[in-house]
Amino acid sequence: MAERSPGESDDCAEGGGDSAPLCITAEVHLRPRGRVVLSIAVGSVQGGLGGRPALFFGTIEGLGPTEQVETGDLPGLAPKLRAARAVDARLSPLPDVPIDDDAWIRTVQQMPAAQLVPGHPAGTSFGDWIAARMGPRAHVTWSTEGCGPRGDPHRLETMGVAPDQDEWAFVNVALEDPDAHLLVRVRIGTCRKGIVGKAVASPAHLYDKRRHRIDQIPLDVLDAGIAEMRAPLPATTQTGASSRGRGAVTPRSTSGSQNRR
Amino acid sequence: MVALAVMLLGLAAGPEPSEADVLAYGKSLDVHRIDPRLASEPLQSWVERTLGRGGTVTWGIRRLR
Repeated sequence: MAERSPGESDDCAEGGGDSAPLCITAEVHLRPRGRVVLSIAVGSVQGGLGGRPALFFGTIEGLGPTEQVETGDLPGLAPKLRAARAVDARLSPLPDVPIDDDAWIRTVQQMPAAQLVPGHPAGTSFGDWIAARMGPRAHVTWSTEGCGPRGDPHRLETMGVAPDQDEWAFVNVALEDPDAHLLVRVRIGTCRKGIVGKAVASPAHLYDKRRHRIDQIPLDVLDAGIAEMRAPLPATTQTGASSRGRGAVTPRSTSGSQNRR
Repeated sequence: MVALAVMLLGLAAGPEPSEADVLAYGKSLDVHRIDPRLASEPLQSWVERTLGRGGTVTWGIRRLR
């Protein structure tokens, strides 16, 4: 299943072409609030009904931040729904706050690195730690993601987020030098409630420009991954496939609000 | 089962299944085919049993026009 951005809607049958899937959609309105949308591909525009059915798109909406229901989630959908209800119970009493990109970025920059990087000793801020990972030539860019275009007064509505919905908010840091592009996403809260809960960093996405491939690397072994990426190219280099024992991933767009520091 | 076979035979004869046909076919799909970890059960009853208690389920289709 393709990766989707927050607020993105079910696009089954869109995009044109006879190979576009044909979907049946179940929209379950929960009580007292919230809904689950499941879109199941049951055929194709060209071939009609038939073929192996598959979950094409799924979301849990209106119970805290929107949660995607991915392929493989169906057996655990009931517990996933209970978890969403628990998050909603925790967040819904909190007041809505304005989106403050700069404050969110500052918070992540100043956060102790040990809070986001397992096993990292205390004493260094995450901003300083990540900025030092690729050396002094790297250009560092901080941005937010998940809450719509910065500067748009109706940014959540622009993303298609209904008034009863919320989305996870992220601070991204990207480092770029001639050989590599590194991206780390830190989930810091939600678009409507601001910074809530414990910040969670994603594995780093490291794009090796020389080998034309992307690896996902846990932050606690990031230095080793970067060092390996910096190693001289062998005489014949295969591109695209990962040989580091980490999953090669598809580049994702980061249409967040950028803030160069 | 016989009714489903008759419906599928009817679908094979026409160029495009109706919305009602697609809904009937989709709701009757065995969820075990969607995810082998799920026990055999029609999609409609699985959705209602798993999610629909105390709520309402609206079914629809998405098709390129």
